Amino acid sequence: MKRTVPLLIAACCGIVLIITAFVPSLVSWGETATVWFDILAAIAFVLGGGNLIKIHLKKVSDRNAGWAYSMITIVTFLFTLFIGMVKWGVPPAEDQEYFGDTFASVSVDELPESLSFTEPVKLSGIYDRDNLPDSVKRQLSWEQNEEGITSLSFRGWMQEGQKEELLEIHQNLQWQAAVELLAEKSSVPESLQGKIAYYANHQAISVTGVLTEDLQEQLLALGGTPAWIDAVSMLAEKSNQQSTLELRDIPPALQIPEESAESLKLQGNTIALTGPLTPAMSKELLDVFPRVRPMSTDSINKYVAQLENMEGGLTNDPDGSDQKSVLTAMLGMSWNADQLIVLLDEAGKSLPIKKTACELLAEKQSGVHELKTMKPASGPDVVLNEEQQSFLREKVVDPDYNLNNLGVDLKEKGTWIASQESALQKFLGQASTIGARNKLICLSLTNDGGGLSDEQFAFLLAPYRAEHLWNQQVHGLLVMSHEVKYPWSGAYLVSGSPFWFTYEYAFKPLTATMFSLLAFYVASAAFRAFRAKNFEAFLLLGTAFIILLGRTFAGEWLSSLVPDYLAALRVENITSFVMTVVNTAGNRAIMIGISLGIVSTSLKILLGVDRTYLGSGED
Amino acid sequence: MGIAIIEKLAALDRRWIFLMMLLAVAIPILLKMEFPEKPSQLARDVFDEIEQLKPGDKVLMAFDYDPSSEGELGPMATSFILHCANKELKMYFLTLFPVGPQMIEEGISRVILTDFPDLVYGEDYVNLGYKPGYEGVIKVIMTDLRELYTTDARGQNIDQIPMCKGVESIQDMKLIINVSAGYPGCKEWVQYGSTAYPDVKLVAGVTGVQAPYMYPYVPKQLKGLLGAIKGAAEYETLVNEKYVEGKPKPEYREGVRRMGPQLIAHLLMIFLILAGNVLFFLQKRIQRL
Repeated sequence: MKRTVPLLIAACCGIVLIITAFVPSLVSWGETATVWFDILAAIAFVLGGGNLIKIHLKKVSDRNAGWAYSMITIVTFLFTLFIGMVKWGVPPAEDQEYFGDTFASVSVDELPESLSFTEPVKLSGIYDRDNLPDSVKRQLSWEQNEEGITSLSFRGWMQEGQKEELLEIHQNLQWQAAVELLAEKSSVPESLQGKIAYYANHQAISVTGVLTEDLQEQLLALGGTPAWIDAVSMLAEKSNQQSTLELRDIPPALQIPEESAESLKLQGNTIALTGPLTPAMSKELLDVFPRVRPMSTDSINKYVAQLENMEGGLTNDPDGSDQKSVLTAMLGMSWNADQLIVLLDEAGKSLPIKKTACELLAEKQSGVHELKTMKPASGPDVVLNEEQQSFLREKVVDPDYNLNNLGVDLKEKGTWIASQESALQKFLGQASTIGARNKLICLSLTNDGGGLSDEQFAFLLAPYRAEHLWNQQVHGLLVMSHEVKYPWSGAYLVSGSPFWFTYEYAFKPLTATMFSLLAFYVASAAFRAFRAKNFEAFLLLGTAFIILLGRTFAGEWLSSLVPDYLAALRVENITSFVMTVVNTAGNRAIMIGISLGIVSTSLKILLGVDRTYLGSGED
Repeated sequence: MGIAIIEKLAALDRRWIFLMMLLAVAIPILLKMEFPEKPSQLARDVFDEIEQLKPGDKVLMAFDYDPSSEGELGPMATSFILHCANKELKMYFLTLFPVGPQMIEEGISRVILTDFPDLVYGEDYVNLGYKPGYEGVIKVIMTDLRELYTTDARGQNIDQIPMCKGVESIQDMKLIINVSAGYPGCKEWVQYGSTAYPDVKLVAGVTGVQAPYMYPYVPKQLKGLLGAIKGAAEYETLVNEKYVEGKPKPEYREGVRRMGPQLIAHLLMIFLILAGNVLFFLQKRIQRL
């Protein structure tokens, strides 16, 4: 039995795979067999590891020659296995941690009745519950009779992603209109929007930031089930926890945003936070450093001259290291006023609006045959007038002008709409900071053998140092105030973790070294063993010379001495001929021979004639 | 006296040869010896195959190599990513090597995160990670990607990744770019990919040891082939000439940089072969006398 079962597995899988290769309609059988093969391959890794430990432990216990190497193998194997599997020192994944949110468990069934929403509908046709996306299966249900679905029900608040997935599963307007109505009914109340959400897949309710007393009362007013009351109380407790952090080198421009003033307080060098630090608060705290803006030619020249006058100066060799040109180019690479004007004009365009499914269904029911999915824009396009454009061009290069006031000032000079304001803020927010720009400048100026003096480094990198220090402190506050939900969600490859360290500083150099040893041994073999003892060996060595030369610049240089009418004798052409004709012919012959051998061996294995892969059977 | 010298040379301690090889590799690196590269037809074929793709086309980047072959394959992997990023192609990374994910992440950090910060993960490039199963993985994903890949390398559901929506299998890719160090690698992609599904195009970069075995597949199953560091340097030259203004960054010149030691090491090999044979024949002559 011990030997029969593997025999049967090998035979069945092999025969199925052969059949599926010739019968296209049975491809799915082959996929299934291959997936099982993959599972076995993964298990084989585990068995291989176990066998490795067994062999080396035996060697150590018997004190055979080389037992010390076996001990090293065992220790490093177990260490790598441990730090990889438990993800020792790996922080949780930021995109799975819901930073800024506090969760409290409450299942779908425990939600209060007021969070059950029903929308009467008339959906004729066949709708299969198995087709529902996983994200809504727990929450969505419907009543059905012979004519079709009569009502849709949803427990909890529907999220935008859930609505999109529901809209996509059936492309008919009736279904989509029904989903839109249900989504509108089951959306988070306006007073709670942006703060409260329900995640059915987590079976939890969440609050972003602090759960204030007002919000708590609103939530408790929704229902009085014990589970709901407990969840809200837990949310209130967890989201009101205090964190404090001693700060160093507080940026001069730091101001606590108004909307965060209740939860974030700065007292001297200490920052006190109530509840978790949300990503929005974190972004506000980090956005305190000046950003890159267009520089006039005079400003650029002054900056370059300032750096040039420092110890070390700047190189100016067009054929070698030309730090002055590189610096001038990089300072001029910032965004410019024209780009901003184009962006603001684009943002001011009145775009057609996509009709909702309800609107399309209403049109269809009123007799419209050709339905158009888009409706015309609501108003005219808004572009910057001449006064706004010249004001913008003047102020963006003025280092004393605060760009945060640009929106307000442009509004005074002409039409200015909300989409333009938001596009402006997004654009300015995406501009690089001075520190980040200077860091890139440093890297570029020290490339290709160029150098900078300590004074120049200090001048360029001071803003970056301040930004980096502040970023670290804000990140520290973010992590400190956050309750980890998925401690093992981080990637084991994350930089700085023990696994990464072992890979970067042990595994990588060791494997590269092992492969590099080949070069030395081949060189030694070339001297000792490559002998032209007969004609075939002479041919082989001659070909080796041609290929060795042809794969380097030496071959090309030698070929330059060969006239054009003898181009076929050029080293690179002979190399190409050898590889594409002679080598290909030889390899094809070998491959055909191997293939015939594979067919024969495979048949023997599948039919159970060759059982060497089962082992000796002595164990 | 002459006979003694010949005998001594013939029995030369191999550590002197190791030292010669060390110097042959180290001196060009330290002196930054670089030589111009003339791209071969095979490198041009690889370049042209990627060049004819349009922005938005899907490309599978199968990086099947590990740190031991990074010396030969790292530069071509970097150039592939640089070329595809400049062409605004949608890049789908995966690997059949256990240590391949690290190679992919290094390539992404070196090229995309540094020089293409506007590219968005999930919309312009995605790392699907490693799957065990050797050629079995290729066989399955050629017809059904989700049979094996339900998440990306970071654990995110593949259905929530915008660029994976609508991608049912590898047949949806316009091109497969394989960087291969051995098994599983280029041969398996040829056997289970481009041969079984002729509409799928495949180009590959392989190690010097593997290259001769791949020539028979050119040009039908393999549209182009980069062999070893020479192929990497040629392809790198083509990409830099087309897409990089001025002097390329050191990361984009690694292939050309590593050709310096290759030249000197090859010349040393030729010298050693000749010297070994000369000494061999001289010894034979001495024995006859």
